Amino acid sequence: MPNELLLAASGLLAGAFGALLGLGGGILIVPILTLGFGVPLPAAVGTSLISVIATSTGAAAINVRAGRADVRLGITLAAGTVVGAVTGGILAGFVPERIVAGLFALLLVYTGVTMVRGLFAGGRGEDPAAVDPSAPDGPSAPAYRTRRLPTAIAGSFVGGNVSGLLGVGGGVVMVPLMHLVMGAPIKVAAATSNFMIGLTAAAGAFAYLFRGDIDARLAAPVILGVAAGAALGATVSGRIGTRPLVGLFVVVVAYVAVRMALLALGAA
Amino acid sequence: MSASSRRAGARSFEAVATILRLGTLLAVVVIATGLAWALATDAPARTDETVLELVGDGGPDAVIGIGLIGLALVPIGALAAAVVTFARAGERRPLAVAASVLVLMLATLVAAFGIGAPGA
Repeated sequence: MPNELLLAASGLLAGAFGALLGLGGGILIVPILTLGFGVPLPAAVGTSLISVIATSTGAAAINVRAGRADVRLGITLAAGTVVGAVTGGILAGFVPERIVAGLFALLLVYTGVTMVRGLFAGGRGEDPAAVDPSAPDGPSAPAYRTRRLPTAIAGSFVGGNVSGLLGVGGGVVMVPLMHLVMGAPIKVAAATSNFMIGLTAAAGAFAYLFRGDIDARLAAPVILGVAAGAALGATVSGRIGTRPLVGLFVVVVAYVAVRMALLALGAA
Repeated sequence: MSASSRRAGARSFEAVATILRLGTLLAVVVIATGLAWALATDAPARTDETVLELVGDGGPDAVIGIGLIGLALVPIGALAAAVVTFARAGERRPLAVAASVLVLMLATLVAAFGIGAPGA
């Protein structure tokens, strides 16, 4: 099978998985490119960032139109993530690959643990009446009140930094931040994070694009696969139970985390 | 909360959603066209070049490069649409925040462009 088809198939898998589990897909794209295709880590991170924009913007269009994403909150927090992503993108040019691999392994472990905890939490404490950001008391204001904005903006900087440095959307940081720290309903947090990922990833991707760290011929099939996979995942998401998927995801993430840790230790 | 207010809330960001949807679609089509051209002509891949060098050199990789830049610009377009939406609604605080983030994004773009420009 030609390399382009394999790359597109990998992107499809990452995009579909990402859409089904509420992730950008970058958490899978970087390891697939690095461990599966032998792509250097900076190029894998840059390719992942630009691919993540496609998943985010495609899904965000639906979430914004449906009123699920809180655009005001997303843009406010984007002030932190954009600065963080730019800083991360610049830092990536100086940080040794092995350290980036080690940080990615830690991110994978954190993501896996978060997903498992989410399974057992099962939407506990959710107020159904509050899960509707499209109830404006002004032209676009949500019905609920968020809190701890300065803390959240500082946390957003960290989320953006993780995104720019490791090539992920930053949703693994932003969703818990909006839900647990700011008190936004979980569905709103997920949809808003999805909207923000495009802005964050674009800010980080500029540095990679203009530095020559994104191989166009590598990125093109991945982006096409990811875009198709995200659309497929969004289409079937209502018909597939997420529990078995999360279980599979955690197994994959554990395996990839070990491989990335070995890469960090110079043993891979 | 009435049904009409819900519809109004979603409708207020209609332009943002439209730019996100159409921009993504357009960028993906351009990237697909460039890749199809490259595969059809068996054109050798040009690696280790910045996106601006790719675009300047022409050929299928230039088309892919234009698609990549276009894709990265989609969120900025959506942000600009949000700025217009807040301005029309007279919402000063979100307008100031959105405009600041837009300026930040544009500054990032210009800075990155400066770093990657041929001869820089």
